[in-house]
Amino acid sequence: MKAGTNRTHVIGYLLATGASISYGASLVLAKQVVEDVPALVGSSIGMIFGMLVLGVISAKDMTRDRKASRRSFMWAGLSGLAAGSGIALMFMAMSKAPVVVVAPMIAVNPLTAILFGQIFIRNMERLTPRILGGALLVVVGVIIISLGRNA
Amino acid sequence: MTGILLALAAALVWGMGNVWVRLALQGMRPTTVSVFSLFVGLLLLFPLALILHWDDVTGITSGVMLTIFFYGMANFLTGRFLNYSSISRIGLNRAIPIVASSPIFALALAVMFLDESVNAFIILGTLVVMAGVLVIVTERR
Repeated sequence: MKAGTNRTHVIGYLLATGASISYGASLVLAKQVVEDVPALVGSSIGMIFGMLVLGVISAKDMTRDRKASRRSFMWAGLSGLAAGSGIALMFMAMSKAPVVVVAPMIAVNPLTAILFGQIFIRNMERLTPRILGGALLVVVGVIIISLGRNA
Repeated sequence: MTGILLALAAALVWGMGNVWVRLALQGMRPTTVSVFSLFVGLLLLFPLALILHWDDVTGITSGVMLTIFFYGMANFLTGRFLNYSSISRIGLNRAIPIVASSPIFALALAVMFLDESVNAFIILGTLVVMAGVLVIVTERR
C-alpha cells in the first residue's frame, strides 16, 4: 500500500516537472509569437491547436467521461473560464504596467491556489508547513528571476 | 496601480481555477478536464481576439502559424494535460508550486536557443526555486 502511494507520488512529481518543462518551452515560444501577433491572438489560436490535438488523442477518454456528473462538467467549465479570464487579465495588466511590475504579481498564483484550496477544499488538500515553505520559496525565486530578466 | 490590480486579479482567478480543476478531477479524467476547460476558455478568448485584432488574425503567415502551433502544443496540450494529471495524483498543494517553477526551464531554453544572458539575480532566483521544489519533494509522507 505504502509502496503504491510512493509510486503515485513519484509519478505525480514527474508529471508536475514535465508540465513545468512544457510551460517553460511555451514561454520561450510565446516570446517568438508575440513578435509577430498580439499575445491574445497567439494564445487563442494556440488553444485551438492544443484542444483539437488533445481532443483527437483523448477521444476514448472523453467518450468514457461523457456520463460524468453535471457537477464535474461545471467544475471543468469554471476552470476553463478561470484560465481564460486569467490570460485576458494578464494581457490587460501588461498593457497598463511594465512586465517588471506585472510578472511578480502573477508569480504569486501558487499561493492563491493554496489559499483557496485551504478555504474551499480543505478536506481534500493537506497543507503542511513544509509544503507552504516550499511554495513560498518557489514564488520568491520566480519573482527574483523575473526581476533579474527585466533588470 | 490598475496594472497591479489586474495582475493580482489574474493570480487570484488562476488560483481559484486550480481549485475547480481539483474538483473536476474527482469525476473526470485529466484529458477530458483539459479539453473541456480549453473549449470553455476559448469561448471567452477567441471572440475577444477576433473583435480586438481582426486584421492580425486574418493576416497570419504560415510561418507564424507554425510557431503558434508549437506554442499551443507546449502550453495547452502537454503543459495543461501534465499539470492536471499531476494535480490528480499528488494534489494541488504539491503539484502547483512545482509546475510554477517553469521560469527556470524557460530560462535554460532561452540561454540555449536565444542567447539570453544570465546575471546574479537570475542565478539566485533559480537556486531559490530549486530549494523550494526540493523542500516539497523531499517531504516525508
